[in-house]
Amino acid sequence: MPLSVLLKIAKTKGLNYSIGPFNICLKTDIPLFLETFVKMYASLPLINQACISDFHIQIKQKKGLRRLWHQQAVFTVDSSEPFEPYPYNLAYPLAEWGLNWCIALSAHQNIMLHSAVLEYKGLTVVFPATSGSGKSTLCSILMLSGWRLLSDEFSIIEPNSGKIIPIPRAIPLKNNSIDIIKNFSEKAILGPTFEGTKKGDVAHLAPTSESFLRQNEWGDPALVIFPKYDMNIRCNLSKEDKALSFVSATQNSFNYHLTQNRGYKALSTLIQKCDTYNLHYSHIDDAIKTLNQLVEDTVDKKTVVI
Amino acid sequence: MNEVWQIFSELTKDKKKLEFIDWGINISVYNPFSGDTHLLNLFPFEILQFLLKKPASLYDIAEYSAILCDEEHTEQWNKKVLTVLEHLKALELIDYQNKSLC
Repeated sequence: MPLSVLLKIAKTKGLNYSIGPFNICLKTDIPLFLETFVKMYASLPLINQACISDFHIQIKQKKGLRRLWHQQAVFTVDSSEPFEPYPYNLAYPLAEWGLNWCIALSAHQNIMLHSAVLEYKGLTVVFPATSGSGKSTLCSILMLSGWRLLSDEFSIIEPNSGKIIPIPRAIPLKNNSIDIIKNFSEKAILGPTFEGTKKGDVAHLAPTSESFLRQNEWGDPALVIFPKYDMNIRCNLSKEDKALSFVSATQNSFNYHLTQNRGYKALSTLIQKCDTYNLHYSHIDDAIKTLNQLVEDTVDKKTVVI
Repeated sequence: MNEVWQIFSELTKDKKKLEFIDWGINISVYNPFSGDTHLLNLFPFEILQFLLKKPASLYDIAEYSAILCDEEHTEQWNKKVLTVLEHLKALELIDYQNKSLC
């Protein structure tokens, strides 16, 4: 569909699409934003029939006289404006951060973990980590190496089944990571680099089409790996104590206290059924090799047991 | 020395139960009153188990745990047990009542 037609729909009735379990209705009047959005979510089908949206999001140019010398973008969800306006050119990162905020505040029937989740050879791997651990870079490279992306920023655990509900979203890369990913693969679909945001320079990486096509296939986690980038260390994968893994998981969950003993049970079940590891690395290639080997060994082990 | 130690009274009042998971060397405990999760080693865990059966004085807890750990029940041991009890109290897992008020 040509961008001009999409913009017309986006300005009026809005674009309806699903990211994992969430239906979103997105309205915008910012062509630059829409262009990046289309690039990031090109393989995500739009929903044509009527549906109930979980979030009605608008990314629009701020009205008023100020726009004549300083254009701004405003994020609105369900008619409320939770953030101060952003510079106009940062409309795209504003929308992604805004959607994170919406999901984080409303999906409390599930357990949310600050972690990336990917699947390789049928094995779902959870990478709980805080900012600065190199999680998004690692996650991007794994995805570009054939792993399926279930989530980058945070994972959603359905507490009754213990399975991971995919929410494949554009991966926000920061600063040096942008060039690392650009140089890693020609397949990488990157959006524009937004300079000087609160998090430094940010560019988004589009999820692979497989990640979108299989976004309704929940993942059954088998491995939990705590990654840590450290430029002064050789790649090292070591078993992590289960009790400590459990504590780390609770600390990485940002709605753990709200979910009460459902969260306690879900995270303890996750750690009990998964093998848990620490991965420290300085060179991404070594990390990928180690992870591929670990998954293959785990798959082999499972096959022998069966 | 008139205190009787017990499982945190707000928990028993609300008929809430502590939930434990044995991880091998450590045991995690979920406190439904505070919503907090704590990792305990065996010693405080055994004290909690003892108090789950019935409230007890410091003397009784120290006596029980001394036997469990194959230690002599001395004044020094009482102090050690009291330190653990104070930690568990700070975590809102236990509290005490004054005997004279009972």
